[in-house]
Amino acid sequence: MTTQTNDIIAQAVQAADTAVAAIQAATNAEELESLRVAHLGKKGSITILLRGMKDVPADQKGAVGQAVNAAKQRATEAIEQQKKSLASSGAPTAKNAIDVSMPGIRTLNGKRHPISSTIEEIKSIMIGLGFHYDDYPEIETEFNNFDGLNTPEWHPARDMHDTFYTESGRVMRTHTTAFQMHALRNYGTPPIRAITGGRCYRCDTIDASHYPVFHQIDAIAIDKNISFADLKWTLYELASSLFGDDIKLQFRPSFFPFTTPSAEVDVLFKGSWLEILGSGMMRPEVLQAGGLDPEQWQGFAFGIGADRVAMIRHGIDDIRHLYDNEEAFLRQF
Amino acid sequence: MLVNTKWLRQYLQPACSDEQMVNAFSIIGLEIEEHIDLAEELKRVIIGFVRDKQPVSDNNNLFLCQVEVTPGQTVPIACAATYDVPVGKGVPVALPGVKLPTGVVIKEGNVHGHNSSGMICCDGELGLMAQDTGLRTFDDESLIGKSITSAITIDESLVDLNILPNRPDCLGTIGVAREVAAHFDLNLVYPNTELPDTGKTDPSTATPARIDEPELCPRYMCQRITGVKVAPSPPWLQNFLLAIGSRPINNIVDITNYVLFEWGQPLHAFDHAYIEGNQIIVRRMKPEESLTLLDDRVIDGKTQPLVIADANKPVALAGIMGGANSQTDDQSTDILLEAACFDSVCVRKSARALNVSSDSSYRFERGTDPNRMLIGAMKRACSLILELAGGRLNGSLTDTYPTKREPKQLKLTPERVSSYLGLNLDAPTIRKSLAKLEIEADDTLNIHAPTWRVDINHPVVLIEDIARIVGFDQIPLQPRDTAGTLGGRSATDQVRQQVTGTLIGAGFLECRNLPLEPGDTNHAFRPLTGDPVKLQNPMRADMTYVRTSLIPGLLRVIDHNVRHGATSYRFFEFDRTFEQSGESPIEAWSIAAVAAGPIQQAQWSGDRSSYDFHHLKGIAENLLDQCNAPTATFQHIDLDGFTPGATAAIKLNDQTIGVIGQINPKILKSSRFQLPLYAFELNLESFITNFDDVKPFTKLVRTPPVTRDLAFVANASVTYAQLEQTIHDAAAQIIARDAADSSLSLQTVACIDEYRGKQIPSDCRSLALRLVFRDPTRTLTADEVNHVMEHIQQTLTATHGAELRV
Repeated sequence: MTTQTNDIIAQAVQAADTAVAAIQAATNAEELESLRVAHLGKKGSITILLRGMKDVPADQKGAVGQAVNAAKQRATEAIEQQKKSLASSGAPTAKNAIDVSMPGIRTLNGKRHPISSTIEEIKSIMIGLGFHYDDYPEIETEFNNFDGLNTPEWHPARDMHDTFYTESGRVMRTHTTAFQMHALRNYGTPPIRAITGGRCYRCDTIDASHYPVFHQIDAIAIDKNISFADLKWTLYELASSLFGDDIKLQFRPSFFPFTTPSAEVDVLFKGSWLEILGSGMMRPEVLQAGGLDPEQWQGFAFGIGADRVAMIRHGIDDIRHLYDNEEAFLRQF
Repeated sequence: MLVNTKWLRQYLQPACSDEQMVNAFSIIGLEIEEHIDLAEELKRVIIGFVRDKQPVSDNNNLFLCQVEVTPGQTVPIACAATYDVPVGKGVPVALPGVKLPTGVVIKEGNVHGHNSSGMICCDGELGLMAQDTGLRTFDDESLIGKSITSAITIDESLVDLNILPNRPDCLGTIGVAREVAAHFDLNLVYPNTELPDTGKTDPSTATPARIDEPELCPRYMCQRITGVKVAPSPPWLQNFLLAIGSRPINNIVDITNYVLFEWGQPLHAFDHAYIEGNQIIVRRMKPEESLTLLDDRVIDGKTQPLVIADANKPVALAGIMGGANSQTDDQSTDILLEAACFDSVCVRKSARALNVSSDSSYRFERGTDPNRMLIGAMKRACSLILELAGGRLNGSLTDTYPTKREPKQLKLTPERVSSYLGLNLDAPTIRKSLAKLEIEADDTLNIHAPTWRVDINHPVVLIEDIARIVGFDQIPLQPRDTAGTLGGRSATDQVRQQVTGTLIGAGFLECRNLPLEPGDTNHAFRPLTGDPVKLQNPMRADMTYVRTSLIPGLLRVIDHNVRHGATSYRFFEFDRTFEQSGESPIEAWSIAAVAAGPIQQAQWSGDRSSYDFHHLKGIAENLLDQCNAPTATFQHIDLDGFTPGATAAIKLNDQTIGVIGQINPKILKSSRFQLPLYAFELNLESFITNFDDVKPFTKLVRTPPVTRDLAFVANASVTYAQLEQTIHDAAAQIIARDAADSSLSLQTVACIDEYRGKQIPSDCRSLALRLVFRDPTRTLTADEVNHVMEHIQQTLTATHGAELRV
């Protein structure tokens, strides 16, 4: 090796050392770019070494070329490395960077009321199962709220309701089940799958678990061979959509004047059984009152307490929060 | 209904465990209101040793005991003479502050001038079935101060069952036991109803009963028993009543109560000495009659309730309560025991009309069995009276039963049952299930329903019984095998989705308010066409009316939030408003919003402006656009709830569809709220009919628009709407005249500035408008637009005296 050759090789190593040190100290993209030009550009400190090549003996050109290329490679890799580390540090890579950590200029979004979103969620699930949603009156006739639902005037089951009456003798509906009479008449010949939701009233003093209004969702399905097994399947579908796939339900025999068999349904939620809905097979008297022949058609019905489901799902401990409409409460959902 | 499980177990053969039974209740359909675990509840009842016992001087029914409740320390406790509290022995003591399972809370007391610091408890008071004397005693002095649960084994509990209205047969222990027996496949053991032989009786001394209202009283039975000795009941009976929260009175009354709780059949015992004419008549009360009831209330005959009468007077309010004029007391020796069946609606109506109720009326209202249970109860009571109060049957049993109630006959098929439940069941399984409930069925499922099951009025009720016995958990999850239906939502619901979405996007929080109002704002926010809907029976005066507007509810939300330090005031509600229109109410979907204060939260950049009329109007206009009503107009209106001059009616095709304005500050409750508050309400019902019309596509225009700004000063009394109309008219006029063959048009007019103040007369304002012209077929020239602009300017000046500013 000639001295010339050794010189160039040593210079290449040194130029690479200098370049890498500078690159690693660079703090932004512009600086990196000017370092790239200074070392790897046409007249860059490393590139320029190749000019000495003409004085190198032919048999040593390979070794020199290798050394210079190695220096180039080190500088290039250092630049890439530094780019990456600058990018991942979160610090701005541009010189005139803005402070991206300043808070965004927000227009605060509104929120849905948790009862509305609960009703909406149940509604959407049921629509997916082929049910049609509609709203029905809140001020009802005694027939639609009671008599048509197999609860005549002197039936003791009326004790289960604390009913508000209007001066003209109408009833503030005590349950959304009152929709059945409308739905049966509106939909006519089965198959019928109908659902509604909304406010109901009860003459009840206000405390942590009682309020003069509450919300329910009620559904019916009627056809030639709708069965209790179908009801169970439907409610499992609904409950698993609401509470998670590994849901457990418990069907307890119960009584509603408008269904037989009747079942209260409890859901196992965070270790305890919570009563969330009432259900059953529609009474023949109800089908008849709605104009369907009970020998030909059968169906199921269920009703869910929306306030209760909302309270369970969100862990709300006092029903009054739902109706106080306090900003700090509504913003949470 | 309170049931002691140990008592219940007597009716089951073989008996099942306490735990099994309690778990079974809800599976059977007997809802547990409360389960009182006595072993747990009685932990605070301790054993105290009686060291001294002295009669209380002025009352020979009372003693004052000194009871050692912790070693070496005695407290005074008064006790009644009912139980022989033995000096020197340990007894159960509840100290002040302890709550007994039957609900009694022990308090520090003063009895005839003596302090009493606790209660010596007999079994019934502890909720326990009685043992021996009914007062447990202890000899081991090391137990002083220890819990009684450490000294005795408690294998019973109290269960408060909520018997649903369809199953009055379970309002007696036998009925509950029948259900439990069916569930566990046990035998139901009926109590002994054999009558002891009390010698020959003369049939003619019996008391005959006549039923004048056979519809209201299907069956009346009575038995005269003579020579009874009225006295306190034996301990087991007294304690039984105490344990289920009932007060012992005397052996005769206690037996009727006991049998009521056992069979679910109410009974009544008259003192025969007061039954005039040795005769019972079941009839309606005459308007001029009156009757004093056992609870001393006097009722009159105005509503003509059904009564039990003797030859001359009413002696009981049928099925509800006996009369004071014929009640049994310590002196009675000759009693007349009644067991009857009354029409449930009749009893319910009387009980309601007279506001009297009792354990008896509760059962009759729901329905009782005129056959087996009635006869069983009658015999059981006679047998117990003869056993516990002595005497003999006097005359034969009177049984007036004009129309016999036969078991209902029903027909089921296995196909019907299987199709209903979605579970294949064959006839033998169905038969066997029903038999467990004492419901008879033959091989072809012809069924005789026992008459105590008043709820069985249709074969489907039997399907429920079958399902309960087979177990609801045996029914599979099985999706329908029927024609599909298309799910979907109504037009109103689609509007709800979209407009609530718009308001949430604009930063509004959705509220749900109580729609019951005091009524003072019924007319304040909306011109009504009908009357407000008023409640007959409001629970509070301030909840008398059903709301006519959503705004009052939102104002309450503002008040509540001011009190609780809210930081922004933007709320809305999508719901119904109500009006009475003749007989029927009108329910109309509406949307209302209120807003006040800064549009954006305080932050380092951005809009600092606060809500005003036009901000809210912009939101209302967005909703109107969304509901295909962009042509709605705004016109001044005066309403009490709003500030005069800052309120507008929103009109569409001459119909008022909403209101917008600044809320009258006087109407807000909270005086702390100083910000101007704005609200609008749209009655969606009146214009959402065309909501889901499919919107047609308009061809996109590729020719450039020409934009011209126009600034002028005009009298402030000329409205913007008038000016805009004039501009549109003028443009249309000149184009029709001079460019009729072109497609040039004035596309939009926008207001880009308003100015009042210096340099402008005080009754005037300066406006800057931006006009956009276009022709979809070609590029416009400056000249032709200038020509139209000139005409517009001249017309503005001519029509409104507008002065152009350059």
